[in-house]
Amino acid sequence: MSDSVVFERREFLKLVGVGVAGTAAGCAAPEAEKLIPYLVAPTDVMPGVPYFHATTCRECPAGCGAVVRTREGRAIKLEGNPNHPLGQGGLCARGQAGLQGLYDPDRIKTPLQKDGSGWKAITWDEAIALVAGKLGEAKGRSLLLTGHETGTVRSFAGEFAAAVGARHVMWEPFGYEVLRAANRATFGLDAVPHLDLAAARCVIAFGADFLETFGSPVAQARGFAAMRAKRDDGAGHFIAVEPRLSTTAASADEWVAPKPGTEYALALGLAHVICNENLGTAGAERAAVKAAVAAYTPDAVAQQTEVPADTIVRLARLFAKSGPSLAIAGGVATQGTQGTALAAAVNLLNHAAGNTNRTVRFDRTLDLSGLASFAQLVREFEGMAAGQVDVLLVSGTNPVYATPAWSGASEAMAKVPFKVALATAKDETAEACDLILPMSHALESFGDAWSARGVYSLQQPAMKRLPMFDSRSFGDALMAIGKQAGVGANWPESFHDVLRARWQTLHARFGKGRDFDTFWMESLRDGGVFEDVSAAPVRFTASYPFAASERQGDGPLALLVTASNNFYDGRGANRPWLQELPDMTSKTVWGSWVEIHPETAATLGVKQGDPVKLETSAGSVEAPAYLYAGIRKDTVALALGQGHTSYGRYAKGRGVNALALLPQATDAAAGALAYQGANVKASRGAKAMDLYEQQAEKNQHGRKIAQIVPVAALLGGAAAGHGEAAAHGEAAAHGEAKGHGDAAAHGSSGGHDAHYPGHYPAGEHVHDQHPSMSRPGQYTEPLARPEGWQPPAHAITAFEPELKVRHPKHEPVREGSYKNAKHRWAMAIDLNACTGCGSCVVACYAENNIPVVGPELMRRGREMAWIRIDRFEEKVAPGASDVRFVPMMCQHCGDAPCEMVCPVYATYHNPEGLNAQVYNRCVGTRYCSNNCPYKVRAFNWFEYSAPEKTTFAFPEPLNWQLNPDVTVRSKGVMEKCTMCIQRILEGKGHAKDENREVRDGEIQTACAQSCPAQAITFGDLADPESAVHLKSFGERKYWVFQELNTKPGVTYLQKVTRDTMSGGPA
Amino acid sequence: MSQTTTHAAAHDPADPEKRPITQASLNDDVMKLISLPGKLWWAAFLFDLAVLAFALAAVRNLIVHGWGVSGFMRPVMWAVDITNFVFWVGIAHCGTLVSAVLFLFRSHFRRAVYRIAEAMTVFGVLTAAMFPAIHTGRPWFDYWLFPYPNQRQLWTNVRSPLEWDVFAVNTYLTVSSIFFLVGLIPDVAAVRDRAKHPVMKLIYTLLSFGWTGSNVQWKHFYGAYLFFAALATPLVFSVHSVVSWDFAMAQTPGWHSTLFAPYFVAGAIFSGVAMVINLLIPIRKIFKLEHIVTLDHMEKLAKLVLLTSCMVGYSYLTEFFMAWYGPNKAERDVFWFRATGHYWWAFWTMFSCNVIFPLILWFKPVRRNMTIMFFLCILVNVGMWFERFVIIVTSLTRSFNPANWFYYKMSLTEVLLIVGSFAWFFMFFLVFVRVLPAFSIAEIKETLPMPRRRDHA
Amino acid sequence: MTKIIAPALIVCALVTASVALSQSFGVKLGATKGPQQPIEFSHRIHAGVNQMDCLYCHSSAANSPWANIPAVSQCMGCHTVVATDKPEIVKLTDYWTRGEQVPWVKVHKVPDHVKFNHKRHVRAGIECQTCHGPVETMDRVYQYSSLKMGWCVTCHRQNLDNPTHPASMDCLVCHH
Repeated sequence: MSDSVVFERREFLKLVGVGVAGTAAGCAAPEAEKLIPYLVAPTDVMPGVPYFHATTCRECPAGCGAVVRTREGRAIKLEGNPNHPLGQGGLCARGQAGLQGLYDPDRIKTPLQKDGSGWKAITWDEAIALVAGKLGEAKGRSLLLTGHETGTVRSFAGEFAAAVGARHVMWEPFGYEVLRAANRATFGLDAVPHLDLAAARCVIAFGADFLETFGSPVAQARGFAAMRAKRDDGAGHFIAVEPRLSTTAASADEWVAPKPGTEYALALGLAHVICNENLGTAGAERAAVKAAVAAYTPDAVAQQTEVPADTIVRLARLFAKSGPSLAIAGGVATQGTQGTALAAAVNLLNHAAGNTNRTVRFDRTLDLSGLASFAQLVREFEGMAAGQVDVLLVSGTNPVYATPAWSGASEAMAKVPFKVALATAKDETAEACDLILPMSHALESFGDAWSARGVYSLQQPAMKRLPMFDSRSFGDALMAIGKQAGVGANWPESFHDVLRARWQTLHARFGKGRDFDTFWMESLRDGGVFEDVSAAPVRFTASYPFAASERQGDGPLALLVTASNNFYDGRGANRPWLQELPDMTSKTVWGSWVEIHPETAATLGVKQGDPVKLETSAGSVEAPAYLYAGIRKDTVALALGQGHTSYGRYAKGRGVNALALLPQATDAAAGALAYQGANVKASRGAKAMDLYEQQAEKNQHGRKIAQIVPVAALLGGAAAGHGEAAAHGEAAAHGEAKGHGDAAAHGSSGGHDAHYPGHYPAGEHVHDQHPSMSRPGQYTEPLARPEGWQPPAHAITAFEPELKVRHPKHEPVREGSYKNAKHRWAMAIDLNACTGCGSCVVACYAENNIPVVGPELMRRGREMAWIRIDRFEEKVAPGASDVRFVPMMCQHCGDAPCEMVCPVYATYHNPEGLNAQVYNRCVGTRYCSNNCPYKVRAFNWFEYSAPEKTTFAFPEPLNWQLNPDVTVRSKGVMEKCTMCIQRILEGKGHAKDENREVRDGEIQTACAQSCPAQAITFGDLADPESAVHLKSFGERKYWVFQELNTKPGVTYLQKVTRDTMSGGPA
Repeated sequence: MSQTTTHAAAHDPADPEKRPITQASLNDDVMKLISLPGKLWWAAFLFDLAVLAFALAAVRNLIVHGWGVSGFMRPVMWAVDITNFVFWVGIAHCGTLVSAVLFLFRSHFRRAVYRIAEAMTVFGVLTAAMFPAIHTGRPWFDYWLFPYPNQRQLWTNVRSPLEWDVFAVNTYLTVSSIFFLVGLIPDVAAVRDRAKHPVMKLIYTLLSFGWTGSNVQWKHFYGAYLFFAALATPLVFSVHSVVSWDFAMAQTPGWHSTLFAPYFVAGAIFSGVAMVINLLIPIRKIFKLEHIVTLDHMEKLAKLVLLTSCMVGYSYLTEFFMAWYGPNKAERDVFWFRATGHYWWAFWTMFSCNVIFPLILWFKPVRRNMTIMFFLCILVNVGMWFERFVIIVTSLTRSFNPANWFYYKMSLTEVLLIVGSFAWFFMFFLVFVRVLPAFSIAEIKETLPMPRRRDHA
Repeated sequence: MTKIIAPALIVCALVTASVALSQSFGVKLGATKGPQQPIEFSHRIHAGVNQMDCLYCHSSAANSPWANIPAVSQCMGCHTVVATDKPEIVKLTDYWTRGEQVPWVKVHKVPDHVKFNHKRHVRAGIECQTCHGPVETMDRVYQYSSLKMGWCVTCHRQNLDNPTHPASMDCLVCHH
């Protein structure tokens, strides 16, 4: 892309203005509609056709690769970049919500200068002159504070700082100082290693939320899915060691709940057993490790951690036996006074088990170097408070919100005479500044991110910057300031040129003979350049002085402050999608909640939703209680990310900020803020609050919605016998009366693959009838079909009825479009891969123009999501734990209850097997929803698409994100998952244009595309080669509520459970 | 008109039951309702309209802002709207039963009461029909539910029980109205002959279809009446069966049951008869018609209530038995939830009002005590309203997927809808007693001694 | 008096019914001849007299679901030299020099819940005139077809078994 193209994009926006008004107005067409043509037709874009731009997601430091889908010059969807080593096509919920940062209705429109209490808009020139002047006066007594930056942005920021005589400090709330400190101590390396989960055969996570916020969650989720996939020897155990069963831990086979702050001892205990019993492949320097952990005998550890000694021994043996294994420490949940100790202990454990350099890889290390630790930041604050800083420039970080009050951020800022925020939104820090320069969003500006070693990721504007925001990119703003201050004489015109200049060096290395422009364009197309890196094996240098520490403050309970999967450190809080996306542990939305064990709550006289007051030496907060058996009785948990006092309409005043509870403490070795390690007093709160629950009932009452199968049952060919066992396991797990029927279904599963094509399920497989339910006579006779009978596309199904009580009397429709249809669109969802990250939910919101209804309506049961993730808790207690996530959307039943009851055919079965919903035919009797066993239909209770209504869900410019291919539904109509029919039609269109059949995998639904773990497979069931066909007819398949005979188009694959109690893989 | 009143008030013997009926006095007694001096009536009527106004405001909100203003939510997408619908259809049933079925069985006690019952039927259906109409998300498109040729080349889904409803209710409205109007002819003619006001005279003239009372007319009249009675009778059973299939045809646990049709019909007659009694007792008291609608008549109705109450009670128990006995765990859960769960109070209100309290009707003194009867029948109708509420709400609350178990909470809108439905019904009813003969003069006269009809004509 | 009322009622009923029915069948009450455009652009001259191909200006009709209105620059491509003195062309030139787009008035409207795909129809070899009428004879373009659902469905139904381009009767094709 060249600048000239960017220029021409301007013309789109006028056109789009019309287009959007039209869309959002729903069915009502405005009077005397105008058709606004381009003034100058752009060369590279055609209206009505989507264009894709590779870029880098900047929603968190991980820096995954992303692809932006644009229409008429506006970004409408963010997806993962399949060619990018980080993410490999997946993109997490936070990343996709980046769009709502771009279209944030509360974005700053022009430079703002504080006057008195309010703000006054000024021009960029004035602002630049002002800043430059102040910087000149400051004479080196100035500071540039940014978030985590890499690549050219960082180097240029440094260059700028040097030029204007400022110091450049980078700080991230989740800077993982402890990991770097521990690696320095034990390996002599300041790096955050790359965790090769795919290669691991057993994983123990010491509180690391590696599927939520820690490290590179998308890549890790991908690896984790591979690790948990069926292994021939049944390996792939996952044990979670933490005081609270987090969303990550929900996927674990076993939950070990040690005393908070003693996790490190447990790790050492495991290492001790491994060394003493000399288990597994002896890693190098095992002797040294053995010496280091000598003191941590199982009994000693058991006594310290309250984890039984035999558990420690058992886990150690399992861990060592299934090498290469992987122990993970890191993330906020382990960042406490003992943080570095834990990280170091885990290093020892990994080293003892010989995992270092195998699964703990120091080749593609995350680049977090150069980040200031929390302690350093506090020193900076002290400096400011002491008046050593005259000018402060803040960008991409929000210290006023993200640090505890005692770190003195606010006081320090107050002491600085002139503070400038380079920000997109008016967050707490910007509020505290004297001048705000509106920054362009990452999707509007050039940049790059060298987020991991060997990953040089480019960031390009997917669209011309939005006209209503007079913003500039960070680089350009610095450049303008510098030039004004007279220091940027040798700088080029724009930051874009700086970027290109910097990339000359990469061109030298990766040019492969191409001239620079070709290299540049191809890099832009691919989203960057990526090299395979290797690293010299790291050696164990020294141990770490482990010592038990006292928890701070008095109070009967331990406080656990957790990172939020939705909001990260809080930067996601003003994204309505993320607010409406339920937290996958509590299934609550739009606020904070205190996780507390039911028994503890009982002693406080607190019931679900009652206010709980938490008090520490530092302060106190009140939030509604969420009674959760998945947390130690002596612990309460509170998530970060909410409690903003500014930042935007969606974030402001929601919930509480957990940081207010943190007493003054850091991890001495790393200088990290100690999120954990405080004691807390809990009592019943005064003021009543709302707990906005999206799913109240988490017990599936034996309905077999989420099914599991022990890995043992899958091993060794003859699925039938094992299926039996599996089913009995099921039956036992639920106390199911109908375990046998289940068994029959499983038993048959192996055999049926051969039947297709030409098999029609109804009336077949009479052999696996349940004896007690079979009825003699005509209704159990197989339906006689002529030789070589083929079912019409819409009637093809993978479904096998549990009990053949009757067969359908009618022949499937063969008239009209039904006889020409070639495809049967279907889905297979692998519950074994799903980690409940919620990225599919946000993807669906983005793709299908689903309105966000807000807390009040959520509480009144007016959720609009088309796909949701149901969480079912079978067993939530220390020991073998069993939590199951079920992505639940319209099942596109072959025999749909909803279709039968709609009086006007607004919902019907389409020729390609989809359960269609025609909004403009819907009268809104809501009968379909009443009759839907899955309850996946959402009703438009209010008018969400009309700007004049108070319930309008897309305030300007959020409506710019609306997908023009999807109708915005109006009041009073039912809506639901369409399997992204617009994408199906687009895909079929491409095939037609190229005069070929649709290729398998070429059409992807939004949810399937975004899933980091690739749990969702979409495709054509009529194509025997397609991935979805193979999965739908393969082992582990089942259908939710199959006893209802709805013939779902969505096939679920059972979650594979592994038994950690009886010594692991064969 | 006032002199007729004074004339009626003139003789006032000790026992109202024994007051003699003559051809003339009967006409006076019945028609004095029509020429009722306004005060009480106007008060009632205006109050009724006031209440109705509030309800209409609520309906306006529903249409302008959407059903979101109600307490409805997933999974409970139907609640008070359909509850009211079924309730009023049920009320409507008794009319046809009393007038048509009992007419075919030649049971004489109906003569005194059937006019009220029929009016109740027509107005009941009119009330019931409101709810399917306004409960849709886009009421302005309700006409799509009717199969009519249109340029879109679209048709309605005849597999949908809701579609059957459209036909059932409309048929019932048509037939019951015709039956009602035909039965009125001779009496309206009598009123016509007395009417003074030209407009009223015109209306009566239209309604009496030029009735002169000639033998031929009587012959055809009874022929037609018999015919319509025969036509209406099957509807008593078919219509409410169809209504019940709205639920029975869905596979939602708690709805999906073959028992529903008979169960609903019994319930409909139960509530209908109770409603008739509730209407008759005050009327015969206020207008001093104890000698026309005698205690014997009332007692027979009471026995009907007792009978249907037992049927309904039996149905309840059968449902629970089947849930316990059958293999469907979801269904078992629903019924357990009904009796013990979040809406236990609704269930037990229903059960006690419909099954336990009516048991006292086994005692003759109770059946003949109009005060007790009156309040008992009110209880019965409360119970029957809750029956529908329980069936709809508890079943939906506990549907298949536990992830969607939420509790429905009634909002002010629904309360106004309930109150409004009564206001709407009584609006019609008040007008009816004001302008039409509320008791069948003609048929009661058949039971009177000389002079015989020939001389009369 | 009764003799008047009954007929009166019947007449009213009939009138209402006929109006409603004619509307529902998409019969236009009074034909429109197209709106006044900011510039009296004549398709007759361009497409008719000069035999210009529709896709020359509305190029994206063959490559995109949306047919485009040519950019002002494209008009100027010819009209910097052709007929520059004509008053309408002067108007156009003024727009161009002012750097404004021409606010053409929309003639063919379908509601937002209808997704019509130009590309598919053009590539199936359907003449523009089939739906847009004899544009080459129109000085001022007007809506030729009713563009009502029944009109679409009729054509689709006729082409269900079209050997090369079978049409679909699936609602989802246009409504999603």
